[in-house]
Amino acid sequence: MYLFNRLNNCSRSVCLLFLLLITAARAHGATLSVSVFNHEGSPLSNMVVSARPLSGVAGSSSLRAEMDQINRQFVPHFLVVQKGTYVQFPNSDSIKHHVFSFSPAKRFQLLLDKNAEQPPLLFDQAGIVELGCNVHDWMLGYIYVVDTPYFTGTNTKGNADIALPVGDFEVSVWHPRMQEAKEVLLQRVTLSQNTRLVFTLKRPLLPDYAGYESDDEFGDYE
Amino acid sequence: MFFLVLIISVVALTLLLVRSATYSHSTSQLLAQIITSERVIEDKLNNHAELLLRATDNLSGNFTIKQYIAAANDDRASLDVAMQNQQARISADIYFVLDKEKNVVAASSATLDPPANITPFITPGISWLSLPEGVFLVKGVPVKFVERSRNTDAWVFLGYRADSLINSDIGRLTDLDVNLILPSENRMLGSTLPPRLAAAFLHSTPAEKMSANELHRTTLEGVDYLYTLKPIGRLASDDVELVMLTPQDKAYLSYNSMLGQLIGLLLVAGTISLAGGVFLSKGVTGPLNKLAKAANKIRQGSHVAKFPASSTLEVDALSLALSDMQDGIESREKQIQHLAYFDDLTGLPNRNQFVTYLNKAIANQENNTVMVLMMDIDRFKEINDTVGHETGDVLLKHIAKRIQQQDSLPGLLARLGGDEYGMVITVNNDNDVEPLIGQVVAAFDQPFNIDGLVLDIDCSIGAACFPADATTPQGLMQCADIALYSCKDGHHNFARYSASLNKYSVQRLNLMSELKSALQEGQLQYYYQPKLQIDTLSITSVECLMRWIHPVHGFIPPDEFIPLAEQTGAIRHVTNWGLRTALSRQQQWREQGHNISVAVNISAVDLIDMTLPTLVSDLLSEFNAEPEYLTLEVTESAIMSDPQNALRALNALKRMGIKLSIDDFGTGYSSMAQLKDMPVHELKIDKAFVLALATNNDDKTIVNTMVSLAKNLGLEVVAEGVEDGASLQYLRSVGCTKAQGYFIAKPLPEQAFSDWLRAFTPDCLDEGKCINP
Repeated sequence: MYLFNRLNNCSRSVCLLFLLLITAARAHGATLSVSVFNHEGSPLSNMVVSARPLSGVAGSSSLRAEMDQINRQFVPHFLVVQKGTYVQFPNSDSIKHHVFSFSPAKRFQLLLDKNAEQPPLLFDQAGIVELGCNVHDWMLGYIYVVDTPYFTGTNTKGNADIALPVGDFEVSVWHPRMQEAKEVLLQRVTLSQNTRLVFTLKRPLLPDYAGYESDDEFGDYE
Repeated sequence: MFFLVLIISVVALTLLLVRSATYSHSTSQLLAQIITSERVIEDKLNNHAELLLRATDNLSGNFTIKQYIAAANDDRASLDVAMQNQQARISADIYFVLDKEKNVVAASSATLDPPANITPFITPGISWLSLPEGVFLVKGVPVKFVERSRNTDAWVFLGYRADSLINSDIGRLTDLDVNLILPSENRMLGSTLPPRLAAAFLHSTPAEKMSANELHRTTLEGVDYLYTLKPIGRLASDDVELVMLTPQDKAYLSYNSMLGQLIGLLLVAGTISLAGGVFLSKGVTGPLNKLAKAANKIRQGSHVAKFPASSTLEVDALSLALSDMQDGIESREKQIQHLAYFDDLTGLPNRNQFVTYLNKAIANQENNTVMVLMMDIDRFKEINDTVGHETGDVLLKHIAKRIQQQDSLPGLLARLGGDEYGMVITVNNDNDVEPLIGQVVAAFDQPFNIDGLVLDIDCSIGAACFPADATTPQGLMQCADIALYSCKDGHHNFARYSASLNKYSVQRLNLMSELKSALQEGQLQYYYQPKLQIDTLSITSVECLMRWIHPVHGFIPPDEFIPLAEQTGAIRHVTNWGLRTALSRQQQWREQGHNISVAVNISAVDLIDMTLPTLVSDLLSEFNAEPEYLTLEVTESAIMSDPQNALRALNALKRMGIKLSIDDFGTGYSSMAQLKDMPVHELKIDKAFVLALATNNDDKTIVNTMVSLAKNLGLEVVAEGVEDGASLQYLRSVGCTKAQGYFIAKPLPEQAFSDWLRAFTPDCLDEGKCINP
């Protein structure tokens, strides 16, 4: 529960953004319903679904997110942020962490002392940023930087609804344990009315690292 | 020689076997050694591969390196320097780093072309990479920037040059030449061989793939090499082969030296064996051959003076045993010879030596007389029975001694057996014979004193001389024997042989064997002498008298051959013939009208043989004869020899109705009591009492008495030997029943008797005109 509470707190701004977006779609748009199934046809929950408007997205400098270090794990395990978001890396543990990423989307190192908070880092490049800790080899986290404000996670039935304005979108599905040929699954869609898209994975998800990669991690996004 | 061949064969065979066994052993040893070496090399290479893997693994976890890799696009130099540092740590020859897309982000050489397939390099094992700089043992690992990441961000590789791996260090490990070749390109990747030889090897290697774990041969620059092949890692899709190579001489060095030692050893063993053989032949075979020859000599009867000695104990023992055996044989031979030629009791020569000596004496005589004396002790049997055999034996010894002491006797004295002695004396003059014999006889003049027992002994001596009496030893001894018996008969001490003595004896012997055939050939005949019935002057019976007309000896009287026949058992055949002939003749006469009875003489033996009654019974029925017409005459003495059995037979015959007559009555000492019981019908008065009856009053008295006696006993009386009328007259006067004799008729052959019988009348008796052919 503690995990969820923290998650709720830290992603407050994202949630706020979601609400705004949904309201806008209702005003002059349609709902994109995305269903994600695994290779056996079973629904997959907690899959990140994002829709990037091909017309482009206006940049924003006020976006904030947080990737905490709790109990020697990244919390949340993966974080989805819109490009241009500042992510804060607090350290809730009583020990030092040395968080880093050598991913092309964002290379950085942060020495996180117990009480000395580092300034947030700007994630201004879309892509998957794999987080590690040079002190704790087992620590693994992701920051998924998307170039859109429209993203959510599938529910337990594998469904995700996104209210979108009409227009052309590139809809992608991602999950850190996906092992498809490409890092993300993409479909283009021209949205003029409520539309349903189905994504079916060709290969099973990789097994999770027991203890911190549970399926209901994204329950909070709904 | 055989020994030598044997040794050489054994040596050669051993060499061959050992060579073959050792060769295959050496080969397998070599192969094992090579396989071990291969394993060592393989281990060595695997170790290097592992070293590379460990080094790259370390690199992959190195945060700084990760950082440099991540930043390689911006700052390649830093990565290169960092990598060179790592490379130096393990003395690797090359390195290279690939990014996620397998593009080279750093490398030890600018021209480095990354492998298309990196899998072999990042998995354990030996993997080779061909680069323009050469061929390398290369290992690498994937790099993950975040340890737990599910993706690989880069790869780092390190490598060693193949030719630097195959260096003299590795050569020292195995003592073999180590080569790495890439057969697909016929390329030498690394070798401990000198470059020229390595090139030669590549040149000589056959194109086809060769099996591993097997010795192959090749010749490099005139030297034979052995080598093996073993795949060791792959280069792209081609095998890399590990080739272990060694000169053949070196490989079989221990084998060859061992073979040399073995040959040496066998030569020494062969020489020792040969020496042993020579020693054996000298110490054993030689002496054994000599011993065999010695044994042969002993077999032939020669004396072997010296037996070979030997240094070998066993042979020496055999030699000694053989020598002892010869001594034993010789001593026993002497003993046997003594037994064979000397009498055990008296120590005198025995019959064998006597005969041998006699033979020699005859052969050596030069107009001399060789005299043989046969001598025995009178009544020796009685003496023996009286004084015992032991004393008898002592007596025989004393006699021998006594005769030997008559030292003037030339010649040989021998004991021939029992109480019989023999002498061979050579005399110059026939006149010397009698005095010499006198000397022998004189030896018995004095009585013999045996343990206080005084015995007066007489001897009988028979003498025969060579050449007068016989020309052979056997003949001489026989003649002397005959003379000896004759002097026994005559109660003389001494008799010389004469031809008259001989005839009797020889005939006697021959007759015995001839009697049986004489019966079959009809040499035996009956002469018939009638018996006159005195009261009627008629011929009522006839006595059958046996005659043997021998083709050589002529007439042989029954007195001579009947006793012999009794002795040999031939008497049965004689009696059988006699009864059969008599009854057959009687049957003829009966048929001619002369019913006369026949009288046949029966011997004492016939009486004891209880088959006689049966025989008589059979013959009577065969010739249909009346029993009362057959009279059997038995001498008084025949009955007296075994009265019991004789009486039984006579009784049986009497019961059959046969008439029985006692022959030669008056000469046999029979008692009146016996006479009384005898189942006879007739007495025949012996002719000794009858011949002179006419003139001798004593005879008259005797005959008269006998006739009276017979009459009183109810017996008929026959008088034999009636040769004149006066005797017949007297017999008639005293009441004698029958008369037989020349006055009536002498014994006549069958035909003559028949004629006589036909012509007989009582008148011719009175007139003395009876036919007397």
